Amino acid sequence: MDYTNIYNERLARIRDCINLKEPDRVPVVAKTDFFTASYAGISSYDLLYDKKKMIAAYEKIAKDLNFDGLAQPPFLHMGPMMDAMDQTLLKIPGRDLPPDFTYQFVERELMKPEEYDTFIRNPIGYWIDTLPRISQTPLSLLSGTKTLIGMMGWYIGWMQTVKRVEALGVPYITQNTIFDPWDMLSLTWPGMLGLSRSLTGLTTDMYRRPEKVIAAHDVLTDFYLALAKIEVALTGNKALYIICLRGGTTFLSPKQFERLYWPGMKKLLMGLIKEDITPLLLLEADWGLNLPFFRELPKAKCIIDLDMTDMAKAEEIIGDRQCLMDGIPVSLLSVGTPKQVEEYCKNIIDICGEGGGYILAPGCLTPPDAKVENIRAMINVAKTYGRYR
Amino acid sequence: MFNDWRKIGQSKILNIINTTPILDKFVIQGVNMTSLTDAIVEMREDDALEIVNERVKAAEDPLKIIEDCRGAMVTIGEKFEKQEYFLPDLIMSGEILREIMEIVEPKLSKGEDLKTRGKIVVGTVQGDVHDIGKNIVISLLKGNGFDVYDLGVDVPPQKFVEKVKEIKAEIVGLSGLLTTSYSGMRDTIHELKKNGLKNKVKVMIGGGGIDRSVTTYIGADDFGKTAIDAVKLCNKWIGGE
Repeated sequence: MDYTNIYNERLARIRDCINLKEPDRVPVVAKTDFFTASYAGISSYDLLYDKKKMIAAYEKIAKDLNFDGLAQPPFLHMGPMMDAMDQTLLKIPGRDLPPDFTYQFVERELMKPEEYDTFIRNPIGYWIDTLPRISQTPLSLLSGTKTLIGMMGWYIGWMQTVKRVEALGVPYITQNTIFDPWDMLSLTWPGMLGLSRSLTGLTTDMYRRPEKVIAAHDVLTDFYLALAKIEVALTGNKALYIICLRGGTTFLSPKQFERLYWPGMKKLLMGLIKEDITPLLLLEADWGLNLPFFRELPKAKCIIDLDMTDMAKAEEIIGDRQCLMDGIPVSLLSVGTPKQVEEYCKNIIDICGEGGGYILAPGCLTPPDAKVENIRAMINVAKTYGRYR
Repeated sequence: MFNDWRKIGQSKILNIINTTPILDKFVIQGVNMTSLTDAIVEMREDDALEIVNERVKAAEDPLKIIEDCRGAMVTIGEKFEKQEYFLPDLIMSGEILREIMEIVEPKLSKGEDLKTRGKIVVGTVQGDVHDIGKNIVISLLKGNGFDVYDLGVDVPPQKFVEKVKEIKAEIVGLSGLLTTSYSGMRDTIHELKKNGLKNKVKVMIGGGGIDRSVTTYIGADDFGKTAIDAVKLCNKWIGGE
């Protein structure tokens, strides 16, 4: 079967939304994450370790569920790489956790406050010196080589997934990913370099040595902007996922946001927009009071994917400037009924759908215990109710 | 940074007070009692610690210092509710409080127990290893005068039961970030019921994916969206407020 037409149709819907135009109906997009495994009947462990099973699981999602697009960050098939570096950042399902759970991040302070200057002077040098801190065993030539091979395997596996999903007519919207440079002050993620000051450490730094925080944030911003451009050059896909965990009103006051966070984020976003790259900002937790700053960006240049932010407020604050994406609560998908999901989605389409520029999607990442009937209800609402009025 | 002038001013005043015996006797208590609370509320860490050190040096009753700290925490909670303060302020004040307790605790005379407002057992449930939220809640509950027992992360239901029995806890706080922690919370409440403890304790839950419907689903007494919510629930249930 030739999926070219349906692929183009779906992509056009999403493009229209980014351009704040009205497509034929509201598109529905997912970050299927570990739901991919539970839906396909494999374990979360397999999703991390078994490339063939992962690709097959994604094909099943692409064939069965008729999403208008996928926007999944690539952090799935990382098992072999993580094992090679003997990392301590994530707890792994099927080994440290029940096999059908997601992996879980362990918050630890890996950088001391007095090390800011070392990092600011020579970031790459700092990382080379301190990277072994994330490992349980000292880095050797063998483990280093294995890590690199694991990294390549991860990247290739993910690219193959993207290719297969797209061949089945589902646009893989964002094929490049970075973390919000602000988040990388407090954490490190496998495959993403950070400082790991920890949330408590970074928070106390905001009061005790704000100038160091600002300087280090600026260095990280430049680093991740450069990395984003390299990723885009490699994939040829001009959209970039930015995972933003700790910049919302849940974590920063508007004053702190303005002084410490926004200069870096604005620089990053403007740098991307200048290169004609479309950022997809996954704004986790509640960003309500900090959203007005995003009005400073040029119109119709990014997708703002919200999690717990009040959608009515978001639509009012920024809906006329950028495409919004949200936002069914993960709890509703896990313990709610299809009827509740349907009502929630209809309500949100009523609020945000007017005038276009809205994509229906689960907030955060789809949890592994989301009920299949709830996911189907969500997709169904987009198709039957998602007409623009 | 913005409060340097105050710091300089205050240390000058303190210097004068300290070097003038008569003033020392009459003024020090009055000046510091109010300013410690202010220093904590305004996140002036150095000032707060300096004042505490001065008051400890003046052989003041450590319980009075702790009382002032609790007063500050109440004000901070109120400011958080009014969205004047945000999470960083809660974390920072918890940190200041921890430093103060390090100075004050050794001064408590033996056998002199802190008057606690109630006993609470807190932990992240089985299958979840996230602890940031839990730790913030614990630091605030302690700051508000509750006796908190931290069971850590990935805590099996039986551990909660054992601790509740052992210390005769009045409240259990269950934490979990992911939807997959719902089952751990349910199991823990089930285990409390099985041991005849559910009607003796109140159970509150909290974490990223927790809301009203989840609370009903799990069978907890109530939930908190923020760390301050947890303090309010404990105040309501056992704090006599």
